[in-house]
Amino acid sequence: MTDLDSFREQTRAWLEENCPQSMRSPFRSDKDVCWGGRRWTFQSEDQRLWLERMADKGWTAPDWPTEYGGGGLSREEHKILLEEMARIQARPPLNSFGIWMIGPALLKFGSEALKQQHLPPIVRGEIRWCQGYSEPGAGSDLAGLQTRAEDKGDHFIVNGQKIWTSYADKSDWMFALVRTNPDVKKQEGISLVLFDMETPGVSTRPIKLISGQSPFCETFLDDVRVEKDQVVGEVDKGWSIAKYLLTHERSMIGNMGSTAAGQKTLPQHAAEALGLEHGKLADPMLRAEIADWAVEAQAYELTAERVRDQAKAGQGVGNTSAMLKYAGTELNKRRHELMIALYGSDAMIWEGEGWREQGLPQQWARSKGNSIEGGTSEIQLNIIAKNILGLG
Amino acid sequence: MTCLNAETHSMLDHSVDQFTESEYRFEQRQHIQLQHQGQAPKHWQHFADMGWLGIAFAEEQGGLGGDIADTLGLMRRFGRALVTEPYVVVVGLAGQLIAGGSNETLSETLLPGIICGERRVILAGNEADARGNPYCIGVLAEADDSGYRLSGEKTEVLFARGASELVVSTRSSGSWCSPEGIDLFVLPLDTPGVTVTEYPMMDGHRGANVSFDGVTVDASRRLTAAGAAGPLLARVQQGATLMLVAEALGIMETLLDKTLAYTRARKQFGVALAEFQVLQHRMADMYIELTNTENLFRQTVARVDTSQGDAGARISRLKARMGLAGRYIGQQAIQLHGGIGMTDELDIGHYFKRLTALDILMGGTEFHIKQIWQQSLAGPAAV
Repeated sequence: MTDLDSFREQTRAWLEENCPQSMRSPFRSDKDVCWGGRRWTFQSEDQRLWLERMADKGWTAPDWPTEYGGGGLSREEHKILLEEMARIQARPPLNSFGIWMIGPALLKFGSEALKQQHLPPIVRGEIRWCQGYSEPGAGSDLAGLQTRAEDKGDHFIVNGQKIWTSYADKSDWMFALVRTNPDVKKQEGISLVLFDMETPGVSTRPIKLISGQSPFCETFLDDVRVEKDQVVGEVDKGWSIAKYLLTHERSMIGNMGSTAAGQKTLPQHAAEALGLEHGKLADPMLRAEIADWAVEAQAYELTAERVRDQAKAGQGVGNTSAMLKYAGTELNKRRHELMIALYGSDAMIWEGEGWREQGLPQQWARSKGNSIEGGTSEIQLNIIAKNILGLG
Repeated sequence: MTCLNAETHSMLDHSVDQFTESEYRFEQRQHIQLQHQGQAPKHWQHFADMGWLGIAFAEEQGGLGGDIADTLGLMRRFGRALVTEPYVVVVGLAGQLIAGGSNETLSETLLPGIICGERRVILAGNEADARGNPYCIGVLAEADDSGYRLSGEKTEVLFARGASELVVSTRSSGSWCSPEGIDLFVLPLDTPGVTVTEYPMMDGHRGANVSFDGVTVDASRRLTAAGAAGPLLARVQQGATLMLVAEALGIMETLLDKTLAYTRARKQFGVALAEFQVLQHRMADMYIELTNTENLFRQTVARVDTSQGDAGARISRLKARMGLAGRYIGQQAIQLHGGIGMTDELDIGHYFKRLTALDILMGGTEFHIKQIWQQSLAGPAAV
């Protein structure tokens, strides 16, 4: 037996012994997801146990180095872990912007001290992170941000406002882009800093969307003290780190078009909503539109898979993430338009007892934001044209 | 064809503009939605006082002597201001069914109250899988010694709250979507056996499931000859569809105007968004969608006689066009406003949600395109 085979065997045995039964099913709703953090209340003892056990093994961050609490797994081993988890439908023990965003940035650009300080609590799910990037006046033009960090010797004093911060009101720490130098070209005066959300001067306000409540917040920074040792990388050199992180974020949002395990596919929804006639969907127009969509979706999935494989083989993702984000979000929006069309007048019901498809118009409304957040579709097309095709 | 003269139209348009400008700014509209479930009592009285509730009723009945086409200027303005009051349901649907039926006693009893604003009658016509076909009716009316017994359920019934009576479409014979065997009854909402379960809808209006369980209703409450209400129902739905399209046009032109204004004001990368060619082209496309829909609307209104029932194909074309234009214009309005277009605080998203509801109501785009196919299969003369 090869090393990988025995790794698989051990992993399978460990999961069988340590993954609680109630954690072996897809999330039924957002409420089931574990985000961790100082203020987290576990939904159940099982949820807590699952996180604790996976974190002990470092398997909340399987490919991070073990010296920071990660699993230290190779690419192949990581793939095996995911396969074995999927086999028993084990849900991820932790959702975390720490694991997805600031962690990778710290690993690549952070000082040893910062890595030791921040990575282990991320792995254990003890600290929850949020991202402070966009501002009311800096959306697509993120580099135009104005939140100002004034140099006071051993610390900065930060003043400004961030917007679209997911879960700022529930998070423990923020990684934020601030302007440390207003006198140079805008991209050259930006730093990436870290601070505790409980620091005096930090306040948040939730933003309600057309789809209802959302995790987004406004964050107000009034004379917030940020220690100099909490700068990631060098002062004024934060923009390149920001771009690296944005690529990650893009990939996350782009993957939303895929059907998660256990979810009904669009054709399955259609069969239930419309019924079948002679084995075909009863409505010829919607049948054609769904077939169209399914072809697009399948082609997209194949591209996404190939890009993932390339990333794993160390070939870098870079600008192809723009393509995935653009195509994935347009697909997702179209999927929701079709869902609305499938359910006729029932699709207008916002809330109702016994209604067969809860949340349909909310999800439809929310999907309109997909082509705006994480870089608008227009920006993604610019990136493709400029960086892949070499135009302009 | 409209019946009222140009001067009357001008006065009507002006009075509606005055109303929306002073009573229906966005913050006021939101307040009415939150505090009054979209129906402010003083506004309905104002509509009655101004004669708006009587536009499409005969003078003998106390109306202004116009028809549905004469309400379209008002509907457009209601669209611009996102007015939430139940004008289409009460005047364009229930009211027209009562006025257009052959039960004179019932219309003499009910219409004056409707026109003076005291009586709100709504329509319970829609059913879960009907998808806009008014003939697809599963609520049964079984004749017995004392009249009829009604059983079944209507869905997405609008504005049940504050309504005194409802008109319900029922089936006494024929298969599910047959145009024959249909009856319309008017009965009080508090009739024993009628249960109303309300819920919020995507555009902020309130809908309801209305179930009928052993409800008895007298034959004198029937609007037409027995089993013969199909043509009246189809005709009235056609007219009400025109009203919805007028409202949608008001929304679409407002969305375009607001998008133009926003992209001129909002700066990124040192320039106004309106300077970017891609976005200019997008707004040009929005303009084309709006203009094509507008022109089809005018042609349809000029050619259709809402007192006849033969406008099905024309109305379907218009409704399908409206649905397609609405999806594009609504979508682009949100996209070009960026993040703030997604917020509940801004009006754009509320316009978009109402526009989407208008697409779904009375049959969505896909339904109407299928109607057009079926008509065109019957030969070019039929279109």
